[in-house]
Amino acid sequence: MLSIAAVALSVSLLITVSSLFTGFINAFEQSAVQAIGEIVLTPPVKLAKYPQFIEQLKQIRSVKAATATLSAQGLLHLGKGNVKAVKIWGIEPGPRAEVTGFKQALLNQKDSNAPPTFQTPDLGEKIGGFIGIGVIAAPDEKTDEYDFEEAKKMTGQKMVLTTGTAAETEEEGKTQFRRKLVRFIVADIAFTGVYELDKSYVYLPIERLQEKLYPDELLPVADQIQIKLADDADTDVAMAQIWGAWQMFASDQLNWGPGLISSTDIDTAKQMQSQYVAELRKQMWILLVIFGVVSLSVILLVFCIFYMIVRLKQKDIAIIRSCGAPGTSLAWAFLGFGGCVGIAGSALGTAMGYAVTRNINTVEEWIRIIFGLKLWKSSVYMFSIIPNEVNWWWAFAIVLFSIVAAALGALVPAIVAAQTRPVKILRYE
Amino acid sequence: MYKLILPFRYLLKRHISYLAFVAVALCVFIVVVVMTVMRGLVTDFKQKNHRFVGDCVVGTDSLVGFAYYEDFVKVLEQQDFVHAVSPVVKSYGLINASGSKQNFGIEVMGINAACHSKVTAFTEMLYHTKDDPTRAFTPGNDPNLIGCIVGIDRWLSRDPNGIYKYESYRRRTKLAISCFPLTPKGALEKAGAGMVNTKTFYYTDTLHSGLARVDSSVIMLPLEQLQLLCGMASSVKRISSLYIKFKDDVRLETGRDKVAALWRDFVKEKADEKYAYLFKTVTVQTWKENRRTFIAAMEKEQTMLIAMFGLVGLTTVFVVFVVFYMIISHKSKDIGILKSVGVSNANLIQIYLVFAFFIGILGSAVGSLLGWRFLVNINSIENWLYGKFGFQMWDRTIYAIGDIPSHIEFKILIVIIVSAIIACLLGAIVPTWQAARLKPVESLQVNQL
Amino acid sequence: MTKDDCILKTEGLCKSYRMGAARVEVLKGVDLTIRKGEFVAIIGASGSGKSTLLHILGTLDRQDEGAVKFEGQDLSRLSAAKLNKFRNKTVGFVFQFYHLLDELNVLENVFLPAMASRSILGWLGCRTWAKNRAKQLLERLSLADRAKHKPYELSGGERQRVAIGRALMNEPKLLLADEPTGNLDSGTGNAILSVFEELNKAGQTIVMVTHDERIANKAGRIITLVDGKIKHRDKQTQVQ
Repeated sequence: MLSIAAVALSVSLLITVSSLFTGFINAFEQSAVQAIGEIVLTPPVKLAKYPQFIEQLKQIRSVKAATATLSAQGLLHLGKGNVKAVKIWGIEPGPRAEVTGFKQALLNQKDSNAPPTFQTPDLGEKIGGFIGIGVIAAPDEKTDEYDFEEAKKMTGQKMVLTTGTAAETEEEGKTQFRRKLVRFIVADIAFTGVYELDKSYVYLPIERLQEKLYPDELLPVADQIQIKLADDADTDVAMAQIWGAWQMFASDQLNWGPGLISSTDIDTAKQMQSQYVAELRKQMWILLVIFGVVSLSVILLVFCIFYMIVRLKQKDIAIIRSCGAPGTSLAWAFLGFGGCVGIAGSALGTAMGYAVTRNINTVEEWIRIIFGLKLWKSSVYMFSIIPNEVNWWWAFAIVLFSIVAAALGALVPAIVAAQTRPVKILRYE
Repeated sequence: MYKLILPFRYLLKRHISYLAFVAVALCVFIVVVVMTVMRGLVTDFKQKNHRFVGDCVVGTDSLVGFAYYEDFVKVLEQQDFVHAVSPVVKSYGLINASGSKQNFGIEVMGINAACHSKVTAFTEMLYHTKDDPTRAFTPGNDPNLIGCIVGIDRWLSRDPNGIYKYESYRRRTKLAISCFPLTPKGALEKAGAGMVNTKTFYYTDTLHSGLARVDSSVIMLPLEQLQLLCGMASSVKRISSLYIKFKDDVRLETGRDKVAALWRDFVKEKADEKYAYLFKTVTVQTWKENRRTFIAAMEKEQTMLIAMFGLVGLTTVFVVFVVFYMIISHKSKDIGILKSVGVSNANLIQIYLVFAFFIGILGSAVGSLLGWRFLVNINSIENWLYGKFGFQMWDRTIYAIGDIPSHIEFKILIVIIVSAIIACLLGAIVPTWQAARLKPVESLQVNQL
Repeated sequence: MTKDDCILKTEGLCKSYRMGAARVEVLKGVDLTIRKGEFVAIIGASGSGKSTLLHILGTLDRQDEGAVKFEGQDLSRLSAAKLNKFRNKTVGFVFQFYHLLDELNVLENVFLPAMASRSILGWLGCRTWAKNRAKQLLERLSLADRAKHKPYELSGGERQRVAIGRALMNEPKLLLADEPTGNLDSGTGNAILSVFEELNKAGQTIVMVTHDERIANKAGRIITLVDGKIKHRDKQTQVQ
């Protein structure tokens, strides 16, 4: 029982660590995907005729949906004397919801069946916009939580956004600014759970934003195309196909030269986070090595337990040997016992690891209470909860390793048992 | 006396106890090293934030700022719990280096260098003018030129060890900085006239706060200059924040509450003033509250690590439990013997708890010693690993840290050692208790050979 | 036999053990009286309950029914602390398999009972006395030159003599020996019995359990245990 418990503890520790870290990394990568889609195409200059390009993209089997964004910066007037610097995204809410999890971020529309829209019933010709919750509200000082009901009351409010364009002039250091006022009605409040987005983003209809910023542009323009792939799509294949489509479109439709085309960045959202994710993976490996070393002491324990069993059962072993049982069969029996301990311990350990991982947020709550640390909510931190899914690939690898380790732990005692000389043990003192 | 002799002899003779000792030493070593490094990083990071903003911030997120701050500064300076106050303007702008056609977005901070040195660790963040921060905005020897301080990551590069390549001389570089001035109501002051105010500044010094966001995007300007650029220098001047430093014996929350009370009174007093409406968005926060979005990530990671080390602690308890279980089941005869000569259950339990204590204290001592040696050399080890394998624990191009923290806090060490000893005692208590409860004859009949 | 002569008395002692699902009755009502200064041998076949009886007399085990009275005092009414004191000061036990502590040397094994009954300060106060007493005992048992040796370095007979020395350390009123020669050859066993005879001549009350009649005949009185009950006889008379 003790040896099973020893293996179980080791396995649960390693599964918990690997699951939490890989969960965190996945959630981090996913948050990027949720915000900007799986693949992001960023040309060096604005691209025109993006609806055509999006249609061409949709012809590719690997592409499920695509949407365009137009970015700007501006000043949002929230009241007399209250002005905040914001980032503006011109978006297509419906296609955007297909590419990202944007719909779930909208407080008013997340539960509706229809695709998200800037149109509110009494909007008329006015511009509707979404506003990040952190722009208009601050989380409670004590609980770090937003008051969502209070925030929703901003729906229907009139907002004034000052934005504009900047153009470099011939004169060194001189920039030509053109101011644009955008009056819009708050159609919804966005709570993505990513603090940076919620604190400083305003979303407007891409066409209306373009009208304001680039009134001379006759064709629709965008800064970026964000793409979602089909569920069964191979990312590398899809990237190659998107590149091909882009090259064709840029040269045929936009008349871009090769230099401009090749300056376009087409990255997966994960690639854009890759540097930071690599650091996280490194830290995960280091922690796994550390806990692996701790687990090693547990494996040594298994060895000691088996050795003790052999010593305790010396008389029994001697009796069995005196009845003619070969040493090798005894050795196999112990090895088999070791393997069984590994299997039983791993099964129990997997269950324990699963329980701890799934309840890590409760554990976090206890730690917060015991150590007086603050429990940060998503309003001020990236995720509202620690990702708590078990990584079954890692769990499988750990279980396999444990079974082998337990069997190895039984190896020396098995050899000792096999080499027991009955007369030495059974001789009366 | 046998309660000391026997545990000591068990420790020396029972080889299985070496396993418990090794497990305790290993766990203590790991916890000491990781806790020291993590705590060092978190404390370091928090300290950097604290040093950047002082103890308390009275401020607004609105780019319009708030007015009548000079009067409130006077109120604060009269308080016995306040050491110094520094008015600060924060805004956004564009920078253009001479010879370049491109503009880059920046954050600008306007400060009074002398005041700011008293409230924050501003002086220590400078390089060329750290001996005399009043000259922070004086480039070279020409007092007519107005200087600016640039975030170090904007100005200098780092080698792979994270060391900045400082220049011994100050490059005389012109920087054109443009801001969008706002009226007290929040409208663009120069809506019809180019929208921006632009002024040329000369590079004076770099700012090394140790905070990645600050060092890569902040430019510091003289307070009055930035007020002019942002349209905050009209008849009633405005600022974004007041950074306050309390006296040494003042508790943070107590100081904040006092400032908040003073502020409420001040707002009431100024209720009829023309720009009183600007007070609506002003908050009073401690530095922790003000910087919480940055601190949150590190504290979250620290919490997760504590959870994981809880599991490590559990493993230690378990290892000790199993070792003691094995020792005691092997030693049940000894327990029977001791009981037969009149040793009480309580004394029996004491023998094994003393044994567990010896294992705990020796294991902790060895683990702590090894941990200390490792930490003393941790940066050399990392440099060697980097030189040999290109491996760095924290990539210095991503993380704004210098050396890995290696100073063991005595209090933390005591907590770890005490926890290890308690873990050993907990691991030993159940098998000991079970064995002590047996009748002497039951203990003696086991393993008579 | 007067009341003052009687050191140990049992009345209707019953004891049973659980062996799997079955319950085995080992003692089925044992009435026994031991006088001061007696050397009594309890003899019986294997499984007759003689060791069980000895363990109950020495409070190493507890009876299911009946009473054990030592100098008139019912031992089952004693608190745990008083029982410990009884085992430490009043009774000395010698086991068949010696049961010495391997971590202590011969001298330490002998003065263990003296250590067991005292705190650290108390021990520091009587340490010299205890060591001297232990040395005296070892001399008497011809083990003076083995004082620093560990038990596993001694022969069986030497170990048993160390066990006797330990049992006598606190000058117990009663010495209980469970098959003291069971693990020894006849020569060594006779030597041990000689020690017992000497001790008894000096006034030590001894109760010894054995399965060997030849060894039992060395005692002053023989008590036979058959199927958990006593059949008295002394050395000269036959079974009644």
